[in-house]
Amino acid sequence: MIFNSAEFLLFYPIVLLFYFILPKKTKWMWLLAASYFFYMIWNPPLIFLILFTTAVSYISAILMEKSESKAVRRFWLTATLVTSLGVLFFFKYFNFLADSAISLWNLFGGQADDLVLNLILPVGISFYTFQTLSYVIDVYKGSIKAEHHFGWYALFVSFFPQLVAGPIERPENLLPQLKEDHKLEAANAWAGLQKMAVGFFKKIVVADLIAEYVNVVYNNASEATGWGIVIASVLFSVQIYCDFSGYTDIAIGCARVMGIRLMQNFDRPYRARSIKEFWARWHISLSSWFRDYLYIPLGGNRCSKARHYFNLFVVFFVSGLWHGANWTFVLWGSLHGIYQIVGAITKKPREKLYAKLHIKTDSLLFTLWQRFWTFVLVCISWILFRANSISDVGVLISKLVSPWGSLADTLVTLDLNLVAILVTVLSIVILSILDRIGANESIAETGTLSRQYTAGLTALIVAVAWCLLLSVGGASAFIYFQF
Amino acid sequence: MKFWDFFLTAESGENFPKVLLLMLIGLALAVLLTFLEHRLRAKWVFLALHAVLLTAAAFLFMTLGAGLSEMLVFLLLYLLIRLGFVFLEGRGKA
Repeated sequence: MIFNSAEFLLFYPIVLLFYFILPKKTKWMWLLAASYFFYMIWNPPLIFLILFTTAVSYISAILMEKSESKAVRRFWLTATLVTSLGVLFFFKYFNFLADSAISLWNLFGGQADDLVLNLILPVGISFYTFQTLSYVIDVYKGSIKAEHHFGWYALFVSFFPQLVAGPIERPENLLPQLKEDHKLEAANAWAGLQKMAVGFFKKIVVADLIAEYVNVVYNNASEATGWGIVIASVLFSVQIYCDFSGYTDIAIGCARVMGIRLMQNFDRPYRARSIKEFWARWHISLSSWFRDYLYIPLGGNRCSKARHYFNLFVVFFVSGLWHGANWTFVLWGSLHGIYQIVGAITKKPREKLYAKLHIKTDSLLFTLWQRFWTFVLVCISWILFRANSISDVGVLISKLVSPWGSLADTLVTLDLNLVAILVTVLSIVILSILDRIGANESIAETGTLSRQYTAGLTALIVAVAWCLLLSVGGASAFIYFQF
Repeated sequence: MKFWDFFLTAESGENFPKVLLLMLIGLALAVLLTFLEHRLRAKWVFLALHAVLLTAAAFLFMTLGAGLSEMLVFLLLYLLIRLGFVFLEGRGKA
C-alpha cells in the first residue's frame, strides 16, 4: 500500500480508531496486524521474508545476550549478518552481479549464457534489513538490551509508517515508544496531520508534477538537448527531495498522530555549503547508520590520511550500492566519495586561500556562493542517479559537453508552458517557506494566524492536485520504494 | 503572441482574461482577509470568511470554464500569501 492511494485514506483512520480504543495490552497486536496488512497489500508471500529476518535477528540477539563468551557472541553476530545480508544480496543483487560477471567473462573471450533468476525485489528490504542489523549490532556491543517480547520486536521491524522507505529507526528510539500507552492528544494529532499535509504537498503537488518533465528527458536520452538535460537535472534535484522527504514527512506525521516520534530524516539539504554538510542533512537516518556501523568501525578519520580517504570512499561506494542494483547507483555513490575525498584534501589549502584573499567565510555572499556550487555538484551526481543505464549516462554527458541547442525549442519539447512554469516555481517557493517554518519552531509557534487553517489549505491544494493527477493517469509510487 | 496566450489551456480557453481578473480580485481579498485576521484575531469569523471566499472562487472558476490547473495556481498563490503572513508574523515575534 502506498500513502498516496485511496486505500490508505481508508486504512489509516481505521488503524487510528482501534489503536486508541484498544487496551494497552492488545495495542501491539493491532499495530503489528495493521503493519503486516499494509505490506501484504502489495505482495502477500513476501511477508515471510520480513518474518524470517525478524525471527533470525530476534533469536540471535537473545542468544548473544545470554552468552558470556565473546567468541559465541561474535558467532551469532556473524551468523545474523551473513543471513540478513545474504537475503538482501540474493533478492536485490544476484541478477545484477551475475549479469555483470557474465558480461565481464564474455568480454575476455568467454562464452557464458545469461543467468537471470525471475526474482521480485521485495519493497523496503534494504530499509528493514538495516534496521534489524542496527539492533543486532547494538545488542552485540552491549549498548542496548535484547527485546524478549517477540511481538514488540516484530512491530519495531515492521511498524507500517516507516516500513518501506524509512526513516531507518534505531531501537533505543522506537522500541520504548511502541511500548508506551499513547492516548489521542490534540497537540500530537494536529502536529502529525500538518506534517502529513506538507508531505502530501511535496509528493503530489511538487514531485509528481515535476516528474512529467524529468521523464521526458531521461526516458529519451538520445533525443535530449543540453538545455533539456540541465533543466531536467535541476528539476530532478527538486523531485527526488520532494518525493523522498515527502514520504518521510507523511511517515513522521502518521506516527506522530499516534504519539510516536520518528527521527528526522532531512534538514533542508540544498542549504548545505559543502558535500560533507549535504550528507549531514540528506537521508540522515541512512548517513548516520553508515557512520556508526561502517565508517567508524573501519577507523573513521582516526587513522592515516590514506586510510581515511579509503574509508570515505568505501562508505559512499556501499551507499551507492545500497540504493540500487545498477552501476549508475554505484557510480553515483563513488562520485560522492570522490567529492568527499577532494573536499578533505583541499580543505586546508582552501582555508589558507580564503585568509590570504581576506574573504569573510561567514558572509551571506560567500555562503550563497558555496551553496550554489554544492547544489551544482549534487545536480551533476543526480544525472548518474536518474539515468536509466550506464550507456545513457555516456549519452547525457556527451550532450552536456557539446552545444546545448535552443532553449526555446527545449521548452516546447518539454511542454513547459507558463502555467507549468508558474505552478512549478510557486510550489518550490511554498515548499521552501514550509521547510523554513517547519525548521524554525519559533516561527511555527508564535503566530496568531491559525496554523490548522494553513494546513487545511495545503490539504485542499493536495486534493486539487490529486484530482489533476488522476485525470492524467493517477498517482505514482515513491522513488525510494525501489530501494 | 499575447502574454496570456501562454496561459491558455484546453480547459479555460478564451475566458482566461476573466479568470485572470477573478484570480487577482480573489487574491486581493485573500490579502485583506489575512491582514484583518492578523490584526483583529477573531479567528473563527475569518476562517468562515476564508471558506466562503474559496467556495465562491471555486464556483466562479467553474462557471467561467476554468480548469483544475487554474484553480491550482489560484490556491497556490492563496497559500503563498498566507505563508508569507505566517512567516513575517513569526519573524516579527521571534
